[in-house]
Amino acid sequence: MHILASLGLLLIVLGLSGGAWFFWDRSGDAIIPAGRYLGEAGALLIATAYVTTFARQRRLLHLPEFIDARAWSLGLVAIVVSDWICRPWGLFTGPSIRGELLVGALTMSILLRRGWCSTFFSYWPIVSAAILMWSFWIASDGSLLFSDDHAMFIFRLKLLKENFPFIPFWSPLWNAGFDARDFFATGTLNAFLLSAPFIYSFPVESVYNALIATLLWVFLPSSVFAAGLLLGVSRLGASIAATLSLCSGLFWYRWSLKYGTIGFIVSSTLVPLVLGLAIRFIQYKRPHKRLCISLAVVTSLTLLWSPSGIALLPLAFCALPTWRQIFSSRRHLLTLLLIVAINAPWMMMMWKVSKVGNFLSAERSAHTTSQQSTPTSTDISQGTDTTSSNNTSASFRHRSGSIDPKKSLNQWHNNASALNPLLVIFALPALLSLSGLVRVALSLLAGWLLLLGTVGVSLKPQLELDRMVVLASILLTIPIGSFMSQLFGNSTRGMLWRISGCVAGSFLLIGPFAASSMVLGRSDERYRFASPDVSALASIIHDNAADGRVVFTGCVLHELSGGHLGPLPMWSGVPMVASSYAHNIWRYEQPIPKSLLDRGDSGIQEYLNLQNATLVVAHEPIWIEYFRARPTEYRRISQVGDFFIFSRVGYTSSYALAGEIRELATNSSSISFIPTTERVALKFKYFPFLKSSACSLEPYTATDGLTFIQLTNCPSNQVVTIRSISPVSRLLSTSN
Amino acid sequence: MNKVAATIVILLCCMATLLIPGRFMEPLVLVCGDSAAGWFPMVNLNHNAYYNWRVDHISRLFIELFSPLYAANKPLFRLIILYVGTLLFTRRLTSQSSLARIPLCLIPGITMLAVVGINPIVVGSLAWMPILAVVCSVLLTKTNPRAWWLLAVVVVTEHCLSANQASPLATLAAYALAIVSNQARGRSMVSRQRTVLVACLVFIPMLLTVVSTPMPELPDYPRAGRVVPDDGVEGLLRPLIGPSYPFESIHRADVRELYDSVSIYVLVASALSIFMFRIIRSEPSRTLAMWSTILALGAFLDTTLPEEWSNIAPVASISRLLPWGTHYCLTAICLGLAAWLLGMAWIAHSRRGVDILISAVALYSIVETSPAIYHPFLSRYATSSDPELKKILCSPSSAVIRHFAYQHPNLMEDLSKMKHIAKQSSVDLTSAEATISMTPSSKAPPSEQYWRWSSRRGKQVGDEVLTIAFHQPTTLRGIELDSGTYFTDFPRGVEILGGPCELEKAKVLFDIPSWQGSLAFTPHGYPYLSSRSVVRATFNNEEQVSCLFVRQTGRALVDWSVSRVRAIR
Repeated sequence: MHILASLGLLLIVLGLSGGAWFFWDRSGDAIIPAGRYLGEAGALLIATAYVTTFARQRRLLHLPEFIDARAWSLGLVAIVVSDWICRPWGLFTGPSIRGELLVGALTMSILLRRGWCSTFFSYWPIVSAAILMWSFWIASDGSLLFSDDHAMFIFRLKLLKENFPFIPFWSPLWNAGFDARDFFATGTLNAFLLSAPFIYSFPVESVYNALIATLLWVFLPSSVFAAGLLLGVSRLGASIAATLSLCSGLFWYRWSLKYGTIGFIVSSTLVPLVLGLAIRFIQYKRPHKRLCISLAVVTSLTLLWSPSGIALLPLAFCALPTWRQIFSSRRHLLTLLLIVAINAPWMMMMWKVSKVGNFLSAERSAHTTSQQSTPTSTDISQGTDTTSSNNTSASFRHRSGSIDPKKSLNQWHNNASALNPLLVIFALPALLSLSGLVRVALSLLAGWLLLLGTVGVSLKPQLELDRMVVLASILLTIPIGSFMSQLFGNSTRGMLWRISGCVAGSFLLIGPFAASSMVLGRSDERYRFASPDVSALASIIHDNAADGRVVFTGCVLHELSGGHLGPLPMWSGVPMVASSYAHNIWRYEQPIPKSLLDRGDSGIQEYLNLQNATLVVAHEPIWIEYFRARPTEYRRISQVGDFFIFSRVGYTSSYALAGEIRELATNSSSISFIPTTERVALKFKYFPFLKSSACSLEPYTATDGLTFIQLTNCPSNQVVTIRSISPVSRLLSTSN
Repeated sequence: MNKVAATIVILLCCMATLLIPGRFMEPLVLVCGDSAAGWFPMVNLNHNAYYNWRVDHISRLFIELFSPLYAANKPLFRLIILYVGTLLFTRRLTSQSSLARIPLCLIPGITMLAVVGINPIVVGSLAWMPILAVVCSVLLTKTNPRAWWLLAVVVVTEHCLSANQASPLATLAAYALAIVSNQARGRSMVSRQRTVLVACLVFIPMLLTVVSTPMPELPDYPRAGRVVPDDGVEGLLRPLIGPSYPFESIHRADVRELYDSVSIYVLVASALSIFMFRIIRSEPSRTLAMWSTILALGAFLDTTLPEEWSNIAPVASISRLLPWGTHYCLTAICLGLAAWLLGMAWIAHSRRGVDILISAVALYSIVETSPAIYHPFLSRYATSSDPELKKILCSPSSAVIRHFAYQHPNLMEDLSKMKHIAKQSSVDLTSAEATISMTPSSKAPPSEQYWRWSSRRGKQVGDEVLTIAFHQPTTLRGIELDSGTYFTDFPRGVEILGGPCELEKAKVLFDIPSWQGSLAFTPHGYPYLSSRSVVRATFNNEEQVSCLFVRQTGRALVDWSVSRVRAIR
């Protein structure tokens, strides 16, 4: 009855994960029109197994009878021969990958027959990591990883290098000054702290690619391997888990290489280790000092990407049965206190400066990105609104909504296709094959994360909880590693066991190669490196800005080599203005306020004067046309990719809106200058947390939507510096 | 007496090899650049493999010393190395040191040459393999190898420099041969540490070789440009590891044509040998024959199965799993290795009676070398001194020339004319000039996003005709049909007839049974196949026509649609 019950459960899993099933590819009719048929067949098989077992042996089915690896391996066969392997956005992209899987199965048969499995898989994670690093090296071709948020993380790391630990702070590099506080929300701090020795020793740009490669292909497998050992998995099982972590799914690489969410990546890398350490911490009456310190450090680093706190919530439930033991042990208490002491300050700071409360309830006002009608250059000159939709509320990547099982199931289908099939098929039997607290903790965590990643996405779209499935997949590598090591160990029991081992092993052997094809940019998912355009643009700006700012017209998001504009001011040495230098908008937005744009040419001129713009950069045809049509006001300097650079004719740069200053110098967190009049209004945005070294500081409304800094009582001919107040003062202050 | 006869026959084979170079020395591979200066590009004119290659130090020294006698691309020295290696490996495998072995050991090399010809990548990858196998075998079993370590470093270095991109397969084969020879002689490994050490010594240089291989310089093809026809199989075929070209360079159909029959011969011979060696209980020979059979089976599956299936057969799959594996023809290496192993299996179990037989087989092989090992069309131009022709042949574009040779036999001579035609501009045909209609369907309704003529059957059957009826007779040089945004709706086969407005009386002006794209040239003059969605049909001469009938002659599971018709005048 082992096979029947296991088969039944497998069919239910396949039914839930696959939707309609086609044989080989999608060219013919579906052999199973909907997943529910599989689910029903599975339920029927389980019922038959129950009835037969009860009739023959007068007992109910036991748990081990649901986890027969031979039956579960059939799920992998079903994936190979069905259209699953040909579906888009999969890690294993077919149909040709079937050949590689076949070669993998043949290799596995030799390894199992010769008994080389254990030795081979001890080294396989190292070889796999080396393959992936080489692939990354080939793909980069010496260029800097720049895709999406990678550009921003380079910028943030550079800011941190110059300003840590005095964060948050005010930076004059973008949009006439901005509050540099997103280190907390984005989790940049964990990557920064982990890589601090390298970041302080070398330029960030020189080590960034190496940092990402180390995180993805050294830290992650090491963390999973160590976690496996901590959770009592065999060395072979831990090695398999480490290999699996390198090829857990396409979305892992989407988040890490394409989206560049480094905070999330570091936390995901550390979560398995947190789990391993936490389980030991809970189990031991008197944990070792090293364990306590490791737990405090690793947990703190993980929590620096704040949503990981939500992800790790089930661990608190796991500790509940032993709460008496924990609260009666000094070491336990001290460790918990240490974790609180490390994390409370930055959490409070984040809560205060990042307006977390507002952010968490932002989905109420969220709406989805809508396609705007494209404005024309005539619209601009006549003052027709081209800024954004009138609705000023926030919007996010996902739609806001209520709990919808159908939508959640669709969400799961998309995720399942992108995951390594080993994780989809073996997750359930692997979890069931564990025992004790490890089983409870892993099941709770995996279940919770999958729930967040499927149901929670539309409830809290601003948190982008879909990535929790990625986190779950990394955690699941550990039980699956253990399960597969048992499967390989059983291969001597008979032909069926060996075939099952070959089938499962082929996915493990080919997985790193499939991941390599993604890293090489040969899959559906593509990511970008900095093209020569980036340095060319920085260089042209540097040569032509002449002490003024650069204004990027229109809406810029990923137009520059697939990444954000963030680090450009640091590379060009010129402060800039854009609708967004980071990915914090989800619809079309102009940097020029509506009130000014409504006034047409004069409003645009006024805005550029207020921003002290000496250069304007346009990438949208309407703006290119607009500037080209006014050669007496804008002179075209150069073109880099889609960006046209124009200098303003007849404009003299000055940062003083009222009064006079000289010798203005800026760095990443302050400006300094010598005022020559007692009262000065500067073309820098006012924030209540700014302080001046010598003058009184107050807001100055330049125009609707632009509030600048005004300085009064300035001593003449003395250097004045404007910077943010200290983080502690900011935390304790009543205003932000 | 038998042995003497065998020796004479084999010596004849050797003489034949050296004295009839025309048989083997055809320009299978064109060396582009200075072979004495490190890496140089090579193009295999048979199947259009284009890769960077280099010659190991010792071979280069040999070439320099004997350059007046041998051209750089003739791997004679590597064949000698292969022979010496075969001799040493035979001795290691069988422990027989009879003088009769010396001529017999020519057999594996000759068998290999008979199967794949003098293909530098096959010879280069296998040349040092037997010596490496001997060195590994000694290092794995000898308790105090001392000087062997130094020798091993030299051999591994030369092996990697000789095998270059193909070193992963050749090194694995050498290591496997070392294990086979040790098992055959009952030698046991010294220790686990020694095994790991030897593996490191052998495989680390191999990895370094693979990593350090540079990409050959590619012509400036546009993004959608191709050099070999599409195989018609859905899905992308991209290597999973290592560098790759943005297009497929090896002409799969040519690989199949080249090696399908020879792979059957080797497979049958190997399979029969297993059977024979099983009867005569010769274990090492049986093992070698078994490996030969496996390799030949791989090549057989690769060359004889339909393309859809051969793509998931072992050789194609392994080529995608090996770094640089799609740059060279793995089938040739598999077959070469299979042939060499087969020869080894024969000589490893030498009986006086079979000596004559195998010698005769070898002699037969040399005389009846696979007739398709060189391409007569391109070899005509391979020795040309015209730099323009040489430039094209020394690039992946040589396959394009072969593809269009079917239509234009004098393409190479008319290259400048073809370039001019390819650049000739085309103009839209207006309704004032001609009436256009398609049967069996007609113009799609105007509500569609783009105005187009479509068969609207959801498939191409082969009977669709687009009729262009000119209001008055007009002179045309050609015609251009664009499927626009429906870029998969191009015709799978095209036949254009022109003349009077009666289909039966019109003459054939253009006929391509399998449409693969038109001939286009890069700014630097390299030909390539342009996007298939634009059918640019150029007639051999200017034609005066009243009507043009464009007949779709292929089959596909998508519509044929045309959104724009342009005339080339």
